[in-house]
Amino acid sequence: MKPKILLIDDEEGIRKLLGISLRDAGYPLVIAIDGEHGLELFQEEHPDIVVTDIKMPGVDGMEVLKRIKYVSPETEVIVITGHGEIELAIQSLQMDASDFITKPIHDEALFVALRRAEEKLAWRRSLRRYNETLKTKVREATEELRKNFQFQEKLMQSAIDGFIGTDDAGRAVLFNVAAQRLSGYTLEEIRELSDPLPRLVPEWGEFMARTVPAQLAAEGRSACMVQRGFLMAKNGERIPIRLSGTLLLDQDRIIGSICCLQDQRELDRLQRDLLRAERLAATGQTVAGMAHAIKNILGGLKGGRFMVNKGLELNERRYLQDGWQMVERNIEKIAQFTMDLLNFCRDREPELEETDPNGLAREVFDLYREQAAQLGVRLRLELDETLPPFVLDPKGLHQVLTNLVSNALDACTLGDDLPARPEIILSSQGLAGGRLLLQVKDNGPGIPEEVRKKLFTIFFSTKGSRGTGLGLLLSQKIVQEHGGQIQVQSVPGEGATFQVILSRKFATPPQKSPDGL
Amino acid sequence: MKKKILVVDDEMDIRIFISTLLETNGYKPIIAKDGEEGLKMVQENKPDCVILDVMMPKESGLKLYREIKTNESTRHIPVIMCSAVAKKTFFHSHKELDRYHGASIPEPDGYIEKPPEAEELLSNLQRLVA
Repeated sequence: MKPKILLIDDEEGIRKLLGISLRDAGYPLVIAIDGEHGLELFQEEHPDIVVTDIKMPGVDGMEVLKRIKYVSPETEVIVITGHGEIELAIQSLQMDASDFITKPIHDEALFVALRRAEEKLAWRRSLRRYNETLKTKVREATEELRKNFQFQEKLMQSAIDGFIGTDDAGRAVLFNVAAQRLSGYTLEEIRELSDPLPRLVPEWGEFMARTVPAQLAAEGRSACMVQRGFLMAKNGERIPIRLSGTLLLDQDRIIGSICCLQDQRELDRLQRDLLRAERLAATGQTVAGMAHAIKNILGGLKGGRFMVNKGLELNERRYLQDGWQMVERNIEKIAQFTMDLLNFCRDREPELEETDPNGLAREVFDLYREQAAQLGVRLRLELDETLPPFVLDPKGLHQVLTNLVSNALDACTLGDDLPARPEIILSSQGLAGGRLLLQVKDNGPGIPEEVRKKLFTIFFSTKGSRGTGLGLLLSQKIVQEHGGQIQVQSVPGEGATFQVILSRKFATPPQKSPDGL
Repeated sequence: MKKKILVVDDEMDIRIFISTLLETNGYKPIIAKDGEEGLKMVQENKPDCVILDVMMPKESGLKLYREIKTNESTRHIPVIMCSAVAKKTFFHSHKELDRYHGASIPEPDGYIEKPPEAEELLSNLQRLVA
């Protein structure tokens, strides 16, 4: 759209002439007959461009220019001067007129001046738009920054963990609500402390004194610290915390530090609770397992009682005999179970003495030789006769071997897939590093993977009511008390091998040679 | 004629006890030490009732139970299951197993928690063996 023009001239001829030209060119136009009228119209019409004659009676063109520029500096004012009035023309330019044209007025000169004025107007408008956009942008960015800052401030302040920030002189500049709550110090109090971080967190002082210089020297930069420590609260309490902190560096210069404090008391409490719950669950399992084993034995005893009663009632010796045997068997069972339990629960130190491991193996072999023969199992002994004596607990180890051989006998004689020629080999062997291997190998059905995983679990048994589910666990405990380990190898269908390996620690120290070398 | 009762249990004491109990109460006990033996005796002797232990080392009593109850010639034989597991737990797991096998197998005719009580066993038998 064309800019609106206010034309001011006291000569009617010029008003008419210019009026026609300007209207023809498509400009919206208002016309004033003198300076005073021009200023009135200016107020009412808000023209973009004013074209005014300089020489007018009353309020002249210079005055019009001055006033218009005063109230509306953006309005373009073109002055019309008479021939030889160059002085006035220059003066008007100094007063910020956009251009001047001289009388007699040529349309061409007029339109050139108008075009320039229009360009200036357009330029000024776009500059203003640009400025305004810039202002908005700056305002928005400022707002964004403020929000961000507020957010971060809120984040810091409402964080569950405590934050302490210091400047380059070690003075506290940040001390959030959590840090205040945790330590008992207020922000003002902490600001008055000269070196708050090392005072509140002694580990920080250590870190600054030792780790930082070392890290700076080694890597040219300082890493952060993450560790457990204590917060010295105002009331003297040492609060367990997990702290992570780092120096704030600008190039190589330390500009401050920040430290995050996590209260560990709640976590510690949760962990304690969890541990207790686990222990309770384990106890529950143990009790259930025990109840099951006892129930089985009780069944046998009740059966025995019934038989004895019947035998007495019917005067039947056969019932009496069977019944009493049942009672005896179950008394034996409960005695064994109790012993196992006690052995398992008792935290006894192994009674160590110098022992010949081969002698031990022979004892166990002799114990089972007859039973094995009755069951049709070939029991063999393969000893490493070069073995030195070992310092170990003979009673404990005897129990382990007894257990393993008795298990092997069960494996060869109970259940499915029994070997045609059942065989058990009990062997001893010296291993590298002065270690001792005791081994019980059978050619029974072997141990499936899912059973193998549970072998050393309390009350786990594959023998129905015959097993207590304590034997292997007890053996493992004894071997571990010796600082040794118990291992199982098995290929299903090809038997199982149990290995007890005792470390050098229990070997006897080598005798000093007589010549003292 | 005396009713034939098959006792299947891996535990010698239980076998002796139950068979004496049956003998002294006018039944004719026959015994099996495991599920395999039990199945053979069910087929050969056609007992009037089976007293079956659930937990046995070789294969569980549940397998034998399924075999009895899915075979046309033996499914009518009442079975009393015997286990240390609480009754409620047992019947729950029976249903679960049923779902697992995809076939509906009837619940056991009787259930006795171990250790077995003489009176309970006898009353179960009286109910099942007319």
